[in-house]
Amino acid sequence: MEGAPARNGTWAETLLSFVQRYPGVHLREIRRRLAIPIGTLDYHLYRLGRQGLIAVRMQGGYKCCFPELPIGSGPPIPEEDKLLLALLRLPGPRAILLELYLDGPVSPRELADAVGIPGSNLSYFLKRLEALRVLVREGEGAERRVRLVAPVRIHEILLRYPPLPETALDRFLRFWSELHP
Amino acid sequence: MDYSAWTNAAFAGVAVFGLLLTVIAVLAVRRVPSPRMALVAAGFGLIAAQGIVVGGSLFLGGADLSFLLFLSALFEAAVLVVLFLATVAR
Repeated sequence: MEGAPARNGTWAETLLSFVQRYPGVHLREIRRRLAIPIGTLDYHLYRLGRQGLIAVRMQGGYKCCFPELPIGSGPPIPEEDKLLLALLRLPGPRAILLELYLDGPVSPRELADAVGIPGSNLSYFLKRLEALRVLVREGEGAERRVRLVAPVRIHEILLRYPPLPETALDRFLRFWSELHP
Repeated sequence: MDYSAWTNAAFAGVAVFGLLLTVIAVLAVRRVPSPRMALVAAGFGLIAAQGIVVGGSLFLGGADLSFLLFLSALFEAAVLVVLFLATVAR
């Protein structure tokens, strides 16, 4: 875990650099990772919002935080990337896109097996990714395939915006969840 | 050579690390509720319980050593069964 960050700087600095490093990060995840008291977090998000440094927006049922200014010398985050980033902060959609990028078009069943997401959740994520025009579902019945619309763009996005680092709890969960007879 | 101090320390270690892993497992169950994670938490909980019960009895003294050995074996058997179930559970 990224513990006690306030010792090395103010909460505002810590919060801003965290959001710049992980744009689209969910509010709940910020609280968990930085261990900021909710009142302090609300206060600094409000202040940073007023200063035009961070924007908080509701996306897919989650409050997501984005840096308002360009990160480093790079360009500002395009609007369509922001929509996708909010979704990619969930492990499921990221795994789906990575699988489709690495293995190419697959059937929904193969995709569910590969990423380990139950059918109903997979269908929900596919619908949302399809609405963002990131992937398409083609064909019917046994011929049904899921494919990325622009694999190169997805590759760039996955590389440019890294996932949140795994905590000890994440590693514990992954280790035990990946066991199969 | 008297191993009683080392035995107490070893069981204290089992209890402490068992508790630590139980806490992590319980947090994992809260994050992703599943039978598998619940079984893993139960397994680590049993290890912590073994450390506390057997280690505590040894520390306090007066308990029959063969009974404590039997109790220890029971705990270990239960841990193995629970972790086996966690391994095969989906």
